Amino acid sequence: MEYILQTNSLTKKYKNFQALNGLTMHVPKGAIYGFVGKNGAGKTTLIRLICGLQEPTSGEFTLYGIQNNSRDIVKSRRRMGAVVETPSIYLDMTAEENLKQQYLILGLPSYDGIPELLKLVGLENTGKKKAKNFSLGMKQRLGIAIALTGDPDFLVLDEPVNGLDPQGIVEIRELILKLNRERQITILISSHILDELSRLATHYGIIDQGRMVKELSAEELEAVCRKCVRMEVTDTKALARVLDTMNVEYKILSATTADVFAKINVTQLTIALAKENCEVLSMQERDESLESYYISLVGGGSHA
Amino acid sequence: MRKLLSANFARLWQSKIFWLLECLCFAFGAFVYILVAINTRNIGQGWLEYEAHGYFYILIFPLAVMISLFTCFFIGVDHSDGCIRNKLIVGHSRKTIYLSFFFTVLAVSLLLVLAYLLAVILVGMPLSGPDVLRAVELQPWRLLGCFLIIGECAALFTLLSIMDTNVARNVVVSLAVAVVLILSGMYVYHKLSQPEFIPIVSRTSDGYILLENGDPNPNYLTGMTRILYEWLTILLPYGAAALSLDKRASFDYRIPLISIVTILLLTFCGIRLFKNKDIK
Repeated sequence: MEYILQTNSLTKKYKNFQALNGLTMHVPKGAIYGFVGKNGAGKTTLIRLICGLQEPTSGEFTLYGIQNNSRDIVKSRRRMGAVVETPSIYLDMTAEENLKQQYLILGLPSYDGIPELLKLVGLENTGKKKAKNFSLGMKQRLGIAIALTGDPDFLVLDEPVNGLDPQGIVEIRELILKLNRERQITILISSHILDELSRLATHYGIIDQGRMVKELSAEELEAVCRKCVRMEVTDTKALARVLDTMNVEYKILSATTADVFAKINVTQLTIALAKENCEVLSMQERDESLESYYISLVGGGSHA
Repeated sequence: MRKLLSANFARLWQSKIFWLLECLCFAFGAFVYILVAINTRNIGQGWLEYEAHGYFYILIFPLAVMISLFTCFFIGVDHSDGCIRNKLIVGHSRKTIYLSFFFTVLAVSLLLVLAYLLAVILVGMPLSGPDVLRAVELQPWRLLGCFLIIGECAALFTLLSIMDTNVARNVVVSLAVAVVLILSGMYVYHKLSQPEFIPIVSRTSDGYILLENGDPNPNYLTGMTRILYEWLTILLPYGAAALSLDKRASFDYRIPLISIVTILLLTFCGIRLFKNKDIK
């Protein structure tokens, strides 16, 4: 698999606080990579490191295959755009003026692409309105437009829906999906709003206390989070025999516990098990979401 | 560098603080020339040609305050609005970002001086005619000295502004530094320019004014103290500025050299510190 970003044992220490603790992650090309973690887990720190705003204490990362301590990392950064925490925009300028600034910073020869960019993010009608008078969602979209200047193929968004109203959240979500599908932009999006992330991400990285707890694709997550009935029985071997005869998918978890991935007739199953001298101790329907999966991995933190 | 400079200048033309300072310099230039014109009328044309030059370059003193204010707001906005991150993210090196700010601040300082001199000439021409051009003229070495002193201020305040992300705190610190620089330089130069003897002014019976050396001046610096003050004068930007603008004093050729070393040192330190700075 081709990776846009790979980190290897990345650490970052601020005085007495270890923000990243040997983080290893892989962002595949074309993915929408959901970077999940509590507040203070190290999401923004990682983003600051890959954007060149800060230097790692130890460890390394590669961007488009170029190592962070190579001189060429500057060139590979030209292929990325980012919105770190709050959007980086001049508040006393209009949307168009802000984009012109970014065009100049990049040294682009003409401003021809600006109307298209403004249209893409839905800010084409803002006219002479200064960015300081924009709503939070508009500022966020302008920040994304600036990050998109120069046609990057990797976009890093740090908590892009934080503080937005429902309408703003939907607009940002649609924009992200559009950028990924229509422009094939790889997106790294950090968030602790798991429900929102689960509507977007094709890959997930779950981070806790500066460490990567789990990396998995949306398909893998779906498999993990499938609807099932968790059964506690006296003999799972007997349960397996009965479920095999019923042609039902299951997973034995221990000598007494198993997950059954089907809607089952409880009476029929209980009678069949009784014939095998197996008692049903408990049955519980489980519908695991990204949220519950996350909690099961990192524990019930107060901020997640 | 070219890209960042063009972005900085595009922002500069829209900067309120820049235009405010330009207007202030222009108004100050006009005001100064009106004072010069009044003095010329009272004292005579000779005063304009031989004594008035100090007035014309008086801007260099408040200029430190103006440069400090400009850098605080211009660079401070890049910090507070977070736009400095846009430059780093797209691959500009910290060294280039730092230098682009320094050159912008330097250019702005010179534009402020130009606005001031333009006002002096525009107001001076109708009042004094071409004499004003002769009066404004300064020896090239002294001019270079002044230019480099302005460069020192630009380098110092760029460093202060780029290292402090808090605009309000930076304004207070930079203004305090500017005032200390001006006052310390003027104090040192004032101490150094004390005459050796207290002059006695008398008028002869035929009306001539006679200037004689009186008692030794107790405030006249001698020995090691004088040497120390001489060094302080050329090391402190505003001591050097006062010395460079005093046509009666001989120009100290160490001034441009020290200014160049100071500019290089401040810029080198600034780049090193900025390279190690964690940006949020």
